[in-house]
Amino acid sequence: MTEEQMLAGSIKKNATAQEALYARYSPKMLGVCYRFSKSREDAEDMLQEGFIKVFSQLHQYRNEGALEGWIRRIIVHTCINIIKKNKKFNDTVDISNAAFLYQREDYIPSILQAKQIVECIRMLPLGYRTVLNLYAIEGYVHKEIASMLEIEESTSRSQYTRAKAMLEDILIKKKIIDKPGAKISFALP
Amino acid sequence: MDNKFYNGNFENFLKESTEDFKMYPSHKVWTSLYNNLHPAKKWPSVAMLLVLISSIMFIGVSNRKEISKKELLKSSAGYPYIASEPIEENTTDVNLPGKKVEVFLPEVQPVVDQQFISEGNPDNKLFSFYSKPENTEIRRLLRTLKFSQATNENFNSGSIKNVDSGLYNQKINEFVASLNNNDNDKFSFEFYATPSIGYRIHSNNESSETFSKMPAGYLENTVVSNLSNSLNIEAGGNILYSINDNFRLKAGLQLNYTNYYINTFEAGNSSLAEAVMNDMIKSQPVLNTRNSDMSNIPQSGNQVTLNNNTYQLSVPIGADFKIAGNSSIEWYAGASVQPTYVAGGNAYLISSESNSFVNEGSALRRFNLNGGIETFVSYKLRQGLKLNAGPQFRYQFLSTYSNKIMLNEKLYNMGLKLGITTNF
Repeated sequence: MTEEQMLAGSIKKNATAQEALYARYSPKMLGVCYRFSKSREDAEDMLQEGFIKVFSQLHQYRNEGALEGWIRRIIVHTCINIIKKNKKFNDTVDISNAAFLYQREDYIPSILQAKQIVECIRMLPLGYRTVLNLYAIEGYVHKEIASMLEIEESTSRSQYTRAKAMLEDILIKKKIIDKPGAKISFALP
Repeated sequence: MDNKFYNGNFENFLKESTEDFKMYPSHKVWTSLYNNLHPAKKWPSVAMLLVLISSIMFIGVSNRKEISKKELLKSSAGYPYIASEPIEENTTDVNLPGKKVEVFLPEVQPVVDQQFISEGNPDNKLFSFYSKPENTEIRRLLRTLKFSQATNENFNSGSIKNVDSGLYNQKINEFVASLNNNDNDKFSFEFYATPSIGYRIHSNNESSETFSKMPAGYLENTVVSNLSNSLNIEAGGNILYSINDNFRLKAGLQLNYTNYYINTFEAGNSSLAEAVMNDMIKSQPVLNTRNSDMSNIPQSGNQVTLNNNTYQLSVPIGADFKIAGNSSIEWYAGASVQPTYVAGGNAYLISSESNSFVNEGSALRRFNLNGGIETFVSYKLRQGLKLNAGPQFRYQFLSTYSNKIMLNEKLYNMGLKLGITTNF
């Protein structure tokens, strides 16, 4: 089934077309949700809610840009809305949380790099992780992130700086990347 | 794996590294999504199954030819008549000279037959049955009953006059039973349970287009050997319809529980298990990863036993053939096909690099097809009730796992079927 057929069928609420569209994009979108979530189960909940919005808003898609990108934006916004229901993003990581990260990282096995990096991202505290995902991977600017998370733009910037430093350090320690002279930019007990 | 330098552009590095990261959602996500998008079509398969079961039960019930006592009384009550000639001839013997007796049970005489027909009731079940040449004995019995009743002078009032109601009820019950036994022996009902030992055949899904594109080294040792068998059970009921004395059809509903054990080792640290899955759209192998602390490689930690199981609902449709028998014991051979819905279960899969196990419930194929063959002895306990016992073999035609899984698993059971058959 071509993308056009899936699109047209899904708009007409044809179950076969909807399933085909879901089968094509759900693996990558679950990967997106997984980066934002604390567990696979939470990621699947985000995916389900995201795809409900995708199918209900599909008639608004205007073929301007790739369908995958359009779906991805809806999924990302769904993830953010779900996270916002439970958490505040002005909190920064505390020392005990940072120490805990270093204990946990030993449990990350050597496997495919993409998976390793995603697991490292998921080790970050919620606020750091969310801002890093939105800025570095999803391509939103700090002004947009501040609006999405209802925080100050300066908070977004500072959280990203700390998240980036923390992630770099984890990646170097795990020997996923080499960066001579990398510095740890947060205090350890 | 070589370490990767990045030249200061951390954002590009992250974006490129995670761009193609995929995970496969469990089947329940699509099920929930489907139910949300199509609330009026929830579980169409279950609805169809219910329709099928209801149809089978309706056919069974509507074909029951039981003549209830109430129906018989109604049938007879419509045709009370004064048996003038025959009774008067016999009143001498019963010391009721000249007295007309109102008889409730119709005596079938040619003149009476014509009366029934002329009054537009040729379908009267009592009349039909009563008229059959082979039922001469019953006609004689009822005539005897009528005359013997006439000897009792302590008759009740009401519609049954000059009749011993106690004796009448006893005889009419016997009569109803004889009618039912005669008319309904084509249909019977079977309840059964089959404890069995479950076995399995594992192989790689080499027929898929994806298999030829597998990376070297994957799926070479994914056929698990450290397994142990376990007790399976099937239980259900069938409606049986006899075509003739030696051949009968059957259809029903059956619950199945299948399971077996995998002996693994507790891993000290959680590891990521790779499962190679088939991308159904692009026909490409896709690596899916899960956390796992169950190792296939002997570890210093504890042994862990995993239980792979399924809960199934089947609709067996088949036939039994009587090989030999007499009035008390019969020997049958039977076969059935069993469209099966897998309601749930555990699916512990070995990872593609054969190091560890992951539980992936969504890997289970929801609809499967089984077949069963059996032979059994049927022993008549009493009127209308038989005890059945014999060996049974059941085989699963399709893999336990859906096509996206690169491992095929065919289950088969060998067990002892125990059941009872009863007439409607």
